[in-house]
Amino acid sequence: MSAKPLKVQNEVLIKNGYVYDPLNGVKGDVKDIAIQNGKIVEPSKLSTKAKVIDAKGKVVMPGGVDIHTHVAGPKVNVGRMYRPEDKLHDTMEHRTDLLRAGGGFSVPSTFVTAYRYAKLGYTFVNEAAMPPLLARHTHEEMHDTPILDQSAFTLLGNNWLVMEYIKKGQKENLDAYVAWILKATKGSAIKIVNPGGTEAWGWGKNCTDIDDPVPYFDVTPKDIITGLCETNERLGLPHSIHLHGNNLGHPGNYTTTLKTLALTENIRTNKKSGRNQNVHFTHAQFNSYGGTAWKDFVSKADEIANYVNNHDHLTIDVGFVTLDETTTMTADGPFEFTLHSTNHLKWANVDVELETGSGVVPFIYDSRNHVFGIQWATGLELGLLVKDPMKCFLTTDHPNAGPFTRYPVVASWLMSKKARDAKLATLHKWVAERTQIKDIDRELSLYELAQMTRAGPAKALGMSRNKGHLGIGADGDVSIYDLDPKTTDIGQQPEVLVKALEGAAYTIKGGDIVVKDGEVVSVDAPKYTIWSDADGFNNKEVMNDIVEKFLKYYSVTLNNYPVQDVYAPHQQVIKAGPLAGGN
Amino acid sequence: MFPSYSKKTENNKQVIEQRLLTQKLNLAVDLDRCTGCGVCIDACPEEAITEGPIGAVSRGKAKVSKVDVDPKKCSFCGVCNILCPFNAIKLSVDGVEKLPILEQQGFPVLEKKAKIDDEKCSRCVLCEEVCPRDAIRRDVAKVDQGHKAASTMKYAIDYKLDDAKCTKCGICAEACDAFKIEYKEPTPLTVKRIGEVKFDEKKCDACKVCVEICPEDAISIERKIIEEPKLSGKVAIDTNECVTCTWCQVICPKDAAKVEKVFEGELTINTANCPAGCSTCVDVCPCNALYLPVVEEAGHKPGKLAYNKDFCIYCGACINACPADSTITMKRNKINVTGEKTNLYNKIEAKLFAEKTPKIKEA
Ligand code: SF4
Repeated sequence: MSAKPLKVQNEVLIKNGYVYDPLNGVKGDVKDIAIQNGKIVEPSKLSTKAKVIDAKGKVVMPGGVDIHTHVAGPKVNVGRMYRPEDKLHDTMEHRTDLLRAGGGFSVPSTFVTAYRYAKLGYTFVNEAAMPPLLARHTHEEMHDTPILDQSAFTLLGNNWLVMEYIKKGQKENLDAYVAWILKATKGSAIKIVNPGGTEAWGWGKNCTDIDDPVPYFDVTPKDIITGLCETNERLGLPHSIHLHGNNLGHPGNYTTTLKTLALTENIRTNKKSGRNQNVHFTHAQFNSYGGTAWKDFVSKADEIANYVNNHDHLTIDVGFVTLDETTTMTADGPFEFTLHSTNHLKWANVDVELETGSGVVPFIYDSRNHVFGIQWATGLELGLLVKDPMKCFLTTDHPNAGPFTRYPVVASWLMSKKARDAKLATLHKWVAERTQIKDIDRELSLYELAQMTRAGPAKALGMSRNKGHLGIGADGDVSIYDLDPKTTDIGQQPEVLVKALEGAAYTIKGGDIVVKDGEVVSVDAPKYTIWSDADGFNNKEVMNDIVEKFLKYYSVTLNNYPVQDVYAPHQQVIKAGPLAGGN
Repeated sequence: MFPSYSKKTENNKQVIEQRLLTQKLNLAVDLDRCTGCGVCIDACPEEAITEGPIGAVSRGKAKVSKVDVDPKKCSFCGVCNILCPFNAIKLSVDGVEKLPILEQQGFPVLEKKAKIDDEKCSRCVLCEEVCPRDAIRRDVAKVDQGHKAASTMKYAIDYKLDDAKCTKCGICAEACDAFKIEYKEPTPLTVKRIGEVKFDEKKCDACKVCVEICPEDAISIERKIIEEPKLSGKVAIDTNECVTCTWCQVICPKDAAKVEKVFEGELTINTANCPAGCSTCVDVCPCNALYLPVVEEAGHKPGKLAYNKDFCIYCGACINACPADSTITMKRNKINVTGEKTNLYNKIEAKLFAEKTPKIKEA
């Protein structure tokens, strides 16, 4: 008796491309990649019916993985709503038989967000800041962001119960609560934004240093960061704590950053998680500043890069400034107010009961101004001075430092000194004087780009089993760029790189060809929401505390709080904590 | 038929009446003065007085009395009149205020020691401002500017005029009523005014405008203070209205007010039992002793309710008004009275000394 043959479908064979797959050590070898039923398989497994893509003379990479971007949820939508003019700066996408209308230069609408990411060859993007109470909003928008697999980080760095458990030293309770709220919000990781500072902003104050006490709660940012990091490792969540530090965007803040990074040096990373770091420090560019005021503002990216090079417990992403008119949006309420006080542009603020805060302010990174030029250089210095791209990822903190559609241009700056110098020549003279950017000759390779945009983020997210590589068993997410590394000298022809990255020759999502020749051709690819379930606790005390908080302080009832399954019709649940057999 | 009873409210007084053939007995509760403290309820030998909706009345939401007297049970003894710390109950016989029990059996009366030392008092306005019961009688003449302001001082004027310099030009008289110049017009012979400058010391307050304005520097004026300046008049405490809360004593900058509380005791607040958001006790407190603490700085949690021990007179109004259970506990341990303590008084005092706390009553 022979086994019943498996029904095979969705077969794709990508032939003869230059494959860049850092997690499997493939450095531009000419290889065939085969996809069957949405997964990468041995090419020999394919039937004769497989669709064949001729990738000869083209670059083949895993689908792009964005570890940090603001694309779904209340704060993003405030940005969309209160910036109608943002649509004027944009070539709006009109409706076709296949595609929805939409747009927005810095804060595109949901459908267009997906189309634009897909055109860049990205297949997984992570929403970086989800207020728990408003999780449904985030999930509804993710539902209207087709093609891309997504996850969302749950904001916990200013959460009342988190601070109370940390203050009382109740570690088990903190574990159980974090697991509960990740489940309730279908979040994938612990996000910490300006720990303590945003709660202080509830009183119009801030925590600018890791030792500043939070009003009433009497814990410090330091306690919050280490407390949540330890919980994260005990739970063995796929991603580490994802940290937006205190004192963001202020001259001289690099000292705060170094102190912050040192906090978790001695916390053991839970290796079951599939990652190496215990903290991911996000948009580090904004926290790498020297000087004392904007007048004597200088880059200290070298100090931060140095720290990253010498330590293995952390990863960072950069937050490259793209020098555009954009929109800033963060859960760092006090920072957004400071920003508004400097540029006097419209300011939105939302404080979320017991949980977090947020602010939105438009921002014009004017290339004539030395500050923005230095910010631009600071980001590139980080990207170039961190030796291992598996520790330093390409982001723009979309849309805070610039919209994600600028990733190809950022890549050209990283990969071509010529492109950098050309941009530098248009900037304020202080940029060259106060940064090292003109002296850095490094040009990243395509392999390193794949590390910064695929392998690194996937590994750091603890998702490198399925994402960020092209090994057997990985998700069939592939991007193919019309770029021949043998005939193109990217260093000398950065514009060729930009053109290739801006419109992928093919983007394949779960075996479906969704982009061809830079145009979206299908929106039917399976799309998953990925979240982390570590809630195997039965902690009565924590449940009582939660019930009490809802009865006394929340404006909704507990029963209406958790996100129901209908909000995430296609879920992938990563089991951690007790559910994964404990740690 | 007799006796006949009636109860009516007029002129903001609840008046109960008992009419006998020859006599008319009246007990009037002054709704403005009554605080609902409940001392009369404990004091009444006939249990004729009950408590009304104190919070609602003090907030103007009910137009009734805070205490209710049953004319049929009342024996018109006047004990409530004697013991009411707020001077809110008056007994009268045939239309004349009278207390037969004092005259016939004897009964101790509340001793309110409250005085202002006239010597020390500077006639400032602080006590009048803080007194929660309008018991301060501040009888001080209103002061305007100028001459009247000077009238608050006792002083002598040392005035000199240098006749040799004076030209009788008249500028001083233009500037001030205190000067009057009598002179003869210049003639071709005299060429100048000849006369005399008259100065009325009573009109002068030594402002020295004349000294400055005299073009010949002929005038000199010095003011010599004879007595420490003080506003004229008197500030006193009306002990009928005074409830001995000691606000005036605490605030007086000259240490002139001396007040002894009529009740002494202890008050404790159990904020855990207070549901908050009510503040009835704060509203009814006749002495402004209870307060809702304020947030002093970011993150400060001040608690729901607090009181200033200095000002509490252990009257019990808060206890009667509080709608919750066991929030505030009060225990009196001394009542200052004068006069011989009769048996009846001792019985009443025991009741007044019992510990009191609000209880949710079953409907
Ligand atoms: S103690 Fe009683 S009266 Fe005072 S605020 Fe609390 S509940 Fe209201």
